[in-house]
Amino acid sequence: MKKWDFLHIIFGVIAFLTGFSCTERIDLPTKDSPPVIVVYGLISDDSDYQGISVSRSSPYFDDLPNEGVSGAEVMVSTSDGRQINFTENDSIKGFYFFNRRFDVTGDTEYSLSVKTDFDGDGSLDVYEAKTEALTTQQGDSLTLEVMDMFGTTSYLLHLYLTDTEGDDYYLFNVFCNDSLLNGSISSAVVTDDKMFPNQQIRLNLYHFGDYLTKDDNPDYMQENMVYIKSGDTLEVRFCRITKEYFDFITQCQNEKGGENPLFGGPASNITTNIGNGGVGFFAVCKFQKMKIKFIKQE
Amino acid sequence: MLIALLLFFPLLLFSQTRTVGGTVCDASTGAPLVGASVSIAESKTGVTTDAKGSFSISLPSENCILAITYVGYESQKIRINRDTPPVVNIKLHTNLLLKEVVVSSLRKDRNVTALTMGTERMSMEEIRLLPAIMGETDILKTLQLLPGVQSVSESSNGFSVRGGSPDQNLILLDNSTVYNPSHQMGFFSAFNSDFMQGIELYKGHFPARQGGRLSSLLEVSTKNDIPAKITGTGGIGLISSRLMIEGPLGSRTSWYAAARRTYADLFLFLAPNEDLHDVSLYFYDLNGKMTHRFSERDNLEFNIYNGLDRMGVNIGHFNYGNTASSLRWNHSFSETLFGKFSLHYTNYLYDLGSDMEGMTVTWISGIRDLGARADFHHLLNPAFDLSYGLTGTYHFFNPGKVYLSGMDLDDYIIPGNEALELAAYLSNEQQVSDRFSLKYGLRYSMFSNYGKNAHTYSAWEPGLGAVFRLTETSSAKANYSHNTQYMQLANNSSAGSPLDVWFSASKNIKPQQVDIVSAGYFRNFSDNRYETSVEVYYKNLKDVIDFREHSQLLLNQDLESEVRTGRGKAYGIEFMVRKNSGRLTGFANYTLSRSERTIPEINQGKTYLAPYDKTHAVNIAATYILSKKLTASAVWVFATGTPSTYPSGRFAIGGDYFPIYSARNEFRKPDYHRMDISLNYAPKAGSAKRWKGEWFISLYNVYNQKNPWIIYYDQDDVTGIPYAEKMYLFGIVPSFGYNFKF
Repeated sequence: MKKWDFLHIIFGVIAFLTGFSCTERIDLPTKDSPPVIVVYGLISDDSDYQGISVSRSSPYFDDLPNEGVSGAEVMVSTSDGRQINFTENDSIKGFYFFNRRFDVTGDTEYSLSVKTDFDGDGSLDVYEAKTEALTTQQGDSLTLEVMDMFGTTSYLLHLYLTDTEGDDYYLFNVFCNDSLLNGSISSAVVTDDKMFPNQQIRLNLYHFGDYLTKDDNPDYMQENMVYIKSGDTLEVRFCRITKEYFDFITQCQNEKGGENPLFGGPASNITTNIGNGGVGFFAVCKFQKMKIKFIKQE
Repeated sequence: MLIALLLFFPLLLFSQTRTVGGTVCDASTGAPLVGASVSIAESKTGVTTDAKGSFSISLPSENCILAITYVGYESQKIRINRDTPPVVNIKLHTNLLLKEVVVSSLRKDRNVTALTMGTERMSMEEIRLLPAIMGETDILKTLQLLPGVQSVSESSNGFSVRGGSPDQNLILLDNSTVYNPSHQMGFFSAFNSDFMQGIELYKGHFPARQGGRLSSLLEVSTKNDIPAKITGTGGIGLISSRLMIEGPLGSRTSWYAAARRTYADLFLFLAPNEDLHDVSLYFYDLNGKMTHRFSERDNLEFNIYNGLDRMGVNIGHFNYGNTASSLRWNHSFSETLFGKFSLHYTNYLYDLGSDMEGMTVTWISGIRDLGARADFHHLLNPAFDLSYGLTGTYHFFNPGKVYLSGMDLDDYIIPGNEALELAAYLSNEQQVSDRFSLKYGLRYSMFSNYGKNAHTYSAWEPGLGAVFRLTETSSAKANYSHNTQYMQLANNSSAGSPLDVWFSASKNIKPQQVDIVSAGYFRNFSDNRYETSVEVYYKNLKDVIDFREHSQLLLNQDLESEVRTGRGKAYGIEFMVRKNSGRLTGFANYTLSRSERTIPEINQGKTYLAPYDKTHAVNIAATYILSKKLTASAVWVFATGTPSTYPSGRFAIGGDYFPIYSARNEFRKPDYHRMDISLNYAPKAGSAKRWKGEWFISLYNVYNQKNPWIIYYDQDDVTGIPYAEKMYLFGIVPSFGYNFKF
């Protein structure tokens, strides 16, 4: 469980008990900013298929999905002299891939270059980003804790991890039977080590429901919760990431939903490592993996 | 220099005329009458009683007539001669017919004669008659109906004065600071209305005795009757009940006690889900006070307030609350020199905890003050009505300590710091002529931070006010003040939260400063039945703070690195019309204003609107006496929507859309407006029976206006395209209850 989950529960109880607030859609008088290039890629040694997306930003309330940018030259190079060219996917406009396992080397600098005539002036615009792949230590153990709250049984997936020297930032991907549960940026699980520098910490990574009691839960929980049953395999793949990537993910998560009058700050643009006015991020990760099989105790 | 002035002050002998002092109180209850007029017919001079009902007036001759008047009471005249003692206590009898229509405890022509501008007073009678959400009479929400005062968020107790932030308001309960004056995340005031005497708000031009904030001083005074027998007041409402009892203890001692508690959680045992039975969700507050009168010249007062909010489930809890206490000795040295000596203690603390599988986390943060002050009022003659004194407060800042047990982790401690804030002041009210009066003063403040990045700052804070009586019923006024603020709240959200921490000026964070000038025209009509005023103001802020983009303000070891400083300005014009008597009473006001910030590292250095800028604000409050038993009230408020930052673009990653902003606060939320009404029925009004009850029914937001509290973004379940949604807190909220007194 994240450190403030219990706070969310308390405020949830308040909302439930007071029950005054209501919502409805609203039209906002915004203006449309000119398009900028959007580049996002997370390269890792975790998959045989690496992808980088290149697209255009659009007015916030535009009715159409954002448009991919075709025909770009997308290349990743490393400080140890390797160079990988990405090819555009025929069926997904603006998506560039490299379908071989990527050998990520720790403590190595990676550079991304995207060349395209984005502004249509006849000359190539170059958008570059640099990042670093960091080595990641092994985890100590992976456990499931049974929780009984408000009459329902659920499970918390804990990873025990011993932090290393220096300021560290971590990204965690959680799988259930090989399906990635938190692949989007908005559902990514990240943490820094400010609260536990150089110590072992129990990280509460994911909250699962009990498949056998799923029907006892309200509809909104059934829609948003993953339910596990005996025999399911749970896996955590995690890596150390740069502070810049950590900031990017947390800012994306904080800004995506708009304002929070009690605990949020003023709306602010999300920081990027894409140069030349682009937005998005380029990151490289070297993952560690841990698995556990769920056996329900009767 | 100022200290030297104070030390040698007794040597500054002026030709003295005789003075008389004392108190004015209600003959039946002993309650002091605040703002009662005490005047001398011969010289056409007069004063008003202060928050304790006290006055002191200079006599032009040995024989004269003192006239005491107060709206709702029968006037009294007292002949003064050489045998009259220096202290006279005056008891006024209620004019029952008029008492029903009292809406203000102001001196009848105070609007025109008072030297300080931007000052608002409200009596509890006036506040209680106005509609309140869920029937909870709320001092701070009523305050937001006054010109230049705005709510920072729907239904919040946080308020902005003339474009300033909530932490720029100094809130005092009997002179003790209350750092978080609200309950239930800001929805309810921390002040139990039964225990309060009234409020006085200074919108920037503080009396020299107080300082340390930029925007306003709110003085909340507690009851100060001299009860002849045990009496009480109370109420039973939808969400809380309250009781206040007061009585004598011998002939010289009075005591007062009050309690209030919400009870939503008491009914949770009825919930079908057993886990809800253990949920805690309540707030309470307790007030106590004792006054002992040693003699006509001496009395001692002890005040204590304690309030707590508690929310808890089986795996965690969140508590927060204030304690404020004071001990004050009032002494009359002579017929011209009065002194008040007091000790103060205040503590704001929150405690957040979780307990899961034997692993407990406890997070504690807060601020604590210990203070002492000596205030003197020295009335020499009409030219020298002096106030002077010394104050000192020791602050203990605890930005956060997280204690971890049941796991092999070190506690997470953010080092706190301590600071000493000292001030000396001297001010004078001078009647230069029948038409022209001046008020001028100087405050010298010093702040020493003894923690990380220790530093000492000091500042001269002058104040100047002038009133020119144009006619018997009109005046023109002008005021200037320079205020310095040495501590501020690390709050980055629009409404604020109980978790926000106070932090002090340091080597890296300079004190915030403001210069305020204002001018106004004041005119009363129909024997002061109608008051009107128009005030303009301009504020120039220096070293005003904001926070960097994506700042982390909680549990941050290096909070100062998140702070950005720059300049700000605010200006506006406020119109007010008030009707003080008759069946229909109330007020209407309109404010046109602007508040801006320019901070180099925010918004690319471009000027942006302050979060509390509201171009137009209209408030109308009215009470109508339908009969002796029935009173109706209504309130209508309108304000331009608060500045907001809306996205002008978006980018997509995976299935997620993220906003792109073009500038901070370049848009506004929809305008805010709302009407509330209430009806009070007192079946035994005018009866001689001791127990008197009153039923009330109220409707908050009568026409169901859906004022947005939050505007947030989500993506359509089918298309994935983003849309905006508003969350509004309240539709129509009916409430009813029963108030009583005995």
